[in-house]
Amino acid sequence: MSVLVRRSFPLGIAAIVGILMILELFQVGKEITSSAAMVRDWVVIISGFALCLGAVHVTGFHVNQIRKRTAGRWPFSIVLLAVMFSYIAVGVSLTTMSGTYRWLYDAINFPLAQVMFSLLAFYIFSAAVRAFQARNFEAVAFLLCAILVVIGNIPSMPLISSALAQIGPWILDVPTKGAFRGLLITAALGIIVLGIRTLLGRETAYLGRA
Amino acid sequence: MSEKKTYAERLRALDPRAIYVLLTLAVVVPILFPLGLPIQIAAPTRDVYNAIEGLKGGAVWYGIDLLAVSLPEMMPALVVTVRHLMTKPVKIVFVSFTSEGPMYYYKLMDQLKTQKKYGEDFAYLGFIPGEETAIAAYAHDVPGTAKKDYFGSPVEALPVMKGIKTAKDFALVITCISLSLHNDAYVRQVFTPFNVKMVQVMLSVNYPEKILYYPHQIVGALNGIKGATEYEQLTGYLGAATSANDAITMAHVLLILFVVVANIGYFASGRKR
Repeated sequence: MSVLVRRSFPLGIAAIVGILMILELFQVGKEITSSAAMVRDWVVIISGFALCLGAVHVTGFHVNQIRKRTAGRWPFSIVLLAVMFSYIAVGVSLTTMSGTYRWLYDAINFPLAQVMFSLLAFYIFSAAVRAFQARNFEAVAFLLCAILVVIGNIPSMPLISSALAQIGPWILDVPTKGAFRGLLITAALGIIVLGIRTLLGRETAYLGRA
Repeated sequence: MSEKKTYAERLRALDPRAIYVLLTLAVVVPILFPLGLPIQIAAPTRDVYNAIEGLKGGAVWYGIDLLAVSLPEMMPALVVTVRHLMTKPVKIVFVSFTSEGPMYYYKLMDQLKTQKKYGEDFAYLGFIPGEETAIAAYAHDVPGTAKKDYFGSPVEALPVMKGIKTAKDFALVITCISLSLHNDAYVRQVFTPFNVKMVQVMLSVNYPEKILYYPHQIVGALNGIKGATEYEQLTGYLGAATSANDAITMAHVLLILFVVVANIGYFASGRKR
């Protein structure tokens, strides 16, 4: 494939679309606004296709695992493909509004997902008990902040000790918010630089190369 | 022969299984035998209530942007806020930017008993793929991005959609969010260009980071199940969150106790790692 197709063409598209979106922000004209809207609609359509492409890729990957009998993996690949195609078959034949499709979701996906998420609570709880030890000054500060935020997060705490319950929210409201706002603004500056590099064709990581 | 451990060392080397059992008890027992602990309402929760209570008409954009993993924490907040909205003279336009959103919509409707009519008072436009770009597209052109509702009816034919073209046409934007990147996306693509009033319902794990948008970009926020508990108390629609309140309190108290005990063990054993 020529450099024009592999590199220049995608860079050109990215630059044109990027400039179009910036111009729309400044409300340059109706043509720009409608063109930007059209591009956004394309993204929604392409994203729909990308989901299909993802399903194709997942199928290809797991069929390969099964064919190669990859140790410790291929039985799970069979389960994954069986479940995925069951959902697709039910969704396509009965539509996603059918009771069967909803039952599959309610009986399998929701409970399993919740179990995985709930297990995290136990791990985090156990990890917190081990991590929050007053080993040095930083650890003491970390421990105190954590305990005060936990206390502030107890729904009934303000009625037990109003003063104690206010410290946790203050930590969230003032130092934490300040730190996160600083991070956010720094990241935004980084994104602006990345955007300029992309518009100028200097940023090529999104093409699959550093 | 193994060296006999001191009491302090045994305190520190607590078997994780014991922690798991006690945490399970701390969560399950209060749910089975409620203590009825009182709670106080946080300011961001009260502001969500005031934002909905203050609605005198118009339309509300309700984003059901949830993942299956967050059902226990987010479902009570989704139900109680929509239940409150249903009592107001507003049209509600539900939409999802996560693929699991439609399943939440069904669960929501299963739990709601409302006099409002589908199509006239509320509608669900389904899942729109494309993440942040989809949110932007929807905010700029609602009927152009979602041409049909989830059930296949043309959006233009739904009376509820009359007069709704962009995010500016909504009196309030409410989003129930599992993924923290959606908090930012909504602020960037909906608040910033359209300056529309917005509240966010977020997971507790995202709350410390995303509350930075309150009170300027978002006028109110619900902190997961805790926020839902507070909201249920405010509205009087006591549900799943209120029954979980005692469990949350007990789990938090247990965590503090364990941390204190582990530190006593640490100091009593001569601060050995």
